[in-house]
This record gives sequence, structure tokens and C-alpha cells, in this order.
Amino acid sequence: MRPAIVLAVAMLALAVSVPFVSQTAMLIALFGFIFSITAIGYNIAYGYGGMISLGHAAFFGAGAYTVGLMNRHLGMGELAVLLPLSMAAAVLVALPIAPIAARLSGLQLATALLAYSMLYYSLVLKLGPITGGSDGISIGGLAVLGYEFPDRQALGLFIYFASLALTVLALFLVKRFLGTVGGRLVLAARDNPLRLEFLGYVPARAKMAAFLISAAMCGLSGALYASALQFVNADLLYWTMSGEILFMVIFGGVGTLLGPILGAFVLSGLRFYIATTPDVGIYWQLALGVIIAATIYSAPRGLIHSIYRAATLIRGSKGGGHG
Amino acid sequence: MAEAVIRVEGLSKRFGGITALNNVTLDMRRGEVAFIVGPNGSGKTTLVNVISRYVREDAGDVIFEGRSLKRVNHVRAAQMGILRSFQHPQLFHGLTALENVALSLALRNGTPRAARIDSLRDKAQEALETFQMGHLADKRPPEMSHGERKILDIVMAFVGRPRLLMLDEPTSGVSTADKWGIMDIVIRNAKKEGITLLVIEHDLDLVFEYAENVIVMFQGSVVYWGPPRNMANSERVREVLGI
Ligand SMILES: Nc1ncnc2c1ncn2[C@@H]1O[C@H](COP(=O)(O)OP(=O)(O)OP(=O)(O)O)[C@@H](O)[C@H]1O
Ligand SMILES: [Mg+2]
Repeated sequence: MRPAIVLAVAMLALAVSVPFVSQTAMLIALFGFIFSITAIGYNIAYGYGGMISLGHAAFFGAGAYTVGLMNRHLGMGELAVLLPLSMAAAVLVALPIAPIAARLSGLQLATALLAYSMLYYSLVLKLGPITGGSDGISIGGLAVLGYEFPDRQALGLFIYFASLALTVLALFLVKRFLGTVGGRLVLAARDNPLRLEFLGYVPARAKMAAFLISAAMCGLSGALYASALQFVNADLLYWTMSGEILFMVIFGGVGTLLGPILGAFVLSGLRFYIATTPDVGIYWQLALGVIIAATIYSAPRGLIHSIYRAATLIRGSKGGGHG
Repeated sequence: MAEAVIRVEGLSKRFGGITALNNVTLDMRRGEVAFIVGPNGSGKTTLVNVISRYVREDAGDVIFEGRSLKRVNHVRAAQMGILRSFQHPQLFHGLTALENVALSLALRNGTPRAARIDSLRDKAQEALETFQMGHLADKRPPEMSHGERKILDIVMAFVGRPRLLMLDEPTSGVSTADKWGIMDIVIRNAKKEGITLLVIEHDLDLVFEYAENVIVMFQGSVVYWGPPRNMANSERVREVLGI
């Protein structure tokens, strides 16, 4: 067997056994996998579509609030309904801005999306009676296919394995997508939109598709996040959340398959450390900023590339396979 | 009887105080191979830009296969079969040479977006072989020489089955030895497929060898339009081209 396959199987086995080994490791890995879906989704827009966004919190939040609002107002707790619904809601939130986003780039794009997402942040605060305002919404009575989770433990375990499975599925689908004509169109639209136009294709179409897929995945992960915490508040829509999403992808490796997952686990680990260590919370944004600056400086292609390089050195072989 | 594939009538274009095109009138019949020559800044690229609808004329009209392109943009023009290469190669640097070509094929054939890009592998490889680029199939543009990138740019236009193909200086930045090889392949394939071909070229030896008609431009105006053999008779042409 190829070493990559052996490694993948080992990682999977490790992931499956984590919940039965350590509570702490499980918590970190739980949010690691949830954020993996976020980061894989964001990477489709940014890494493959070349669309840098500081507004993806809106799509993550749309998913989270779908669970919160449906739960609070309709007593809905069925995840088999809520999860797909959260993807649809995120797409719905992304839809009005998508045609504009597909035609902007760089700083203009990032700030336009930031402004757009902050619209939802203030909307949630303004509509307090419906959204719970800054207090947020507590979520209860979650179930899957009619099975109501008896306690937090069971719910956590389910979200853990669902997120793990969905991360693997997302990886598989993204890899497949990249091999299709549509996937290559997204990369081409990133590399040279003008050339696509001179081949008779409107690049904004591929970018829009990438943007909406990306939003759907962020929505899904937002719903998983809200379900795991059984709580949602407006912080999820704040622009710093978008910053954390961007952080994961840049830190792990923009436009790589596995980089976003690596970034997601690092962010989850950092978040856990901050949450469990007294008096460091105020340094959170600062720490993220310093780490991202250090990453861009020392490993501009992300941590995953440094790991590939190290692996190649250790094997002592002639330039390695990037996956 | 032989309707012109492309006709431009009284085309003018100014950029600020610069006259890039000055009342240009030309046409090409189907399958014709014509060359545009002229010193730097004489409006050659601008003419190609206007015909491909990237730049809008101030006055005049472009008529392609009997239809005015006044209301046609560059995307639609490409869909209609007006394809071009670029003075500076325009490629997808994250894709391999093979994928660059395959994508052009996919767009031309309306291949379903869900189809695997690999399904076009054989055809793309074949096109690369035709231009003696087969060995570069798995290389990405940043790993290729300038000359190789220029050819790849041409192959991408070629596989789109153009009804009018315009090449902007296909041999610039290519060694003198390779120039002839490239031009030979381009002309041979254009002839084989009956493609109407308009080439901007600085090397007059190539022009004299391959052109059926030559358009000499100077300061936006056409100072000569006709077969290459009569070109040197005109004092104006000799003056403009320094021959
Ligand atoms: N987009 C533009 N904006 C302003 N000026 C332009 C633009 N495009 C072309 N020009 C000017 O129009 C004139 C003709 O330019 P053009 O590129 O058509 O010349 P060319 O014959 O292709 O020259 P070269 O041999 O250097 O490629 C030049 O003076 C150029 O500076
Ligand atoms: Mg030019």
C-alpha cells in the first residue's frame, strides 16, 4: 500500500478512537472537524476561486441561526431537517451578494463582503425579540431521525461523528469536483478571468458557483457548531469570525486539499486553550494576528506545505507527492 | 460571390490625444492568411482588439460573416468564432498545458461541467502534439519558456475551431531558429482547417514567405494593403518599415 493511504487509514482510526480516549482531545477534535467543513468550504471560494472574503461569518451564522431560530420558534430539533435547511439558508443569504462578489476581487471584494455580513450582525441585534439579540438563543431537544439525544454526551458524540464523516465526504467531493470541467473552470477563473472571456466563457459564472458552494458548506458547519454548543449568538456573525475562518485557511495552506483541516484543528486547539486558561482571552485577536503574520512570513504557502517539505526531507527522496 | 469573413469599415479609435486607428477599411475572404506589419504603436494590436470586441471603436463598423458586431462584446465574439492569442500569453498558470488546452476544448464543445477534464485528455494531447508541444503536456505555464507559452496560447485558440483566428506577434521573444518552425506549423494547420488567419508580425522575412495579403500600418492608418510582392514598390511602405 502507498504510504499516503496507510497514513490516511491511521488518521481515520485515530479520529474514531479519540472520543473514547480523552474528553479534552474529543472537544478539540469536535470543533476541529466542524471548522474543517467551514475551512474546506471557504477554501473553495478563496483557494480555488481566488475570492478573498471577510464576510463568510454571514454564511456560518446563517447556518447556526437556522438551527437557533427553528428551534426557538417552531420547536424544531430534527437535525436531519435542520442541517440541509441550514445549507439552503446560507445559500439564500449568499445569493444576493454572489453576482457582485463574482465580479469584484482583492480588497474591494473582501470589504464588500465584510460590510454585507455586518448587515446581518446588526440585523440580529436589532431584531432582539425574534433573534434573542445579544443574549442569543439556547437550543434544546435536538434529535436525529426521531432519536432524541438523552444528554449532552450523546449529542456531542453524534455531532463528532457526523462532523468527521462530513469532513471526509467534503474532502472527497472537493477532490472530485476539482477533476471536472466545472472545477477546472473555477481554477481558470481565478488564474486568468480575461482569458476565459476570450474563450467565450463568463468567469463570473464559475466564481458564483464556487461562492455558493462555499457558503453552503459554511452554513452546514455553522449549524453543527450551534448544535454542538446548543447555543447561538451574534458573535458568530461578527467580522472577527470571518477573520478566524480566513486564518484557518491561510495558516493551513490556501488552495490545498488538507491545509484547511490542519488550520481548523490549530484554531480549535487555540480556542480551547484560550477558553480554559484564565486571563488570556483578551489576547485572543492579538494572538491570531501574530500567528498569521508569522505564518505569512515564514511559511507563506501554509503549514501543510512545510509538513510536505519536511516529509520529503525525512524520506530523503526526490521531491514528493503533494496531495 | 465570395463573401468576406471579416470586413472593417472606416474604423477609428483614439486614446486621449493618440490616434490608434484612423479610418481603417479592410476585409478578408474565407481561408485567407493576412499579416499586419508596422512599427511599435502603429495600432496593430488595437485593430485586433477592436475586431475581437475588447476595445470599442469611436467610429466605423466591424462586420463578421455579414453581421455587424456593433452590439457584440468580446465574450460573444469568441462564442461566434473570433478567437485570438495575445502579445503576452494569457494562460491558466495553475493548470497544466494539457488542461489549458482541454478547457478550451470543453468550452468549444459545450462539454458538460460535471464531465471529468480527463475525458478530453486524448484530444488535448493530440492538439499539443500537432504543435510539437506533446512533451510539455504536464508542465504548468510558469515552468515553460516564453516561446512555449506563446505556442500554448496559440494552441488554445486553435482548438476552439475559430472562424477567424488572430495572432498577436506569435513569434516575438522566440529565437530566430524557432520562429520559422512555429510559423510553419501555424500556417500549415490553418490551411489544413481552412481557418481565416490574421497575424501581427514584425519579422518581414516571415511575412514575405507566408502572407497572401499584407496590411502595413503607421500611426493608425493603413498605408498599404495588398499582396506582399508589390509592397516594396511603395516608397511610403519602404519609409515606414525602413526597408
Ligand atoms: N488601452 C489603451 N489606453 C491608452 N492608449 C492605448 C491603449 N491601447 C493602445 N494605446 C495606444 O495606442 C497606440 C497604438 O497601440 P497598439 O498597441 O495598437 O500598437 P501596436 O502596433 O500593437 O504596437 P506594438 O508593436 O508595440 O505592439 C499606442 O500609442 C498605444 O500607446
Ligand atoms: Mg501590439
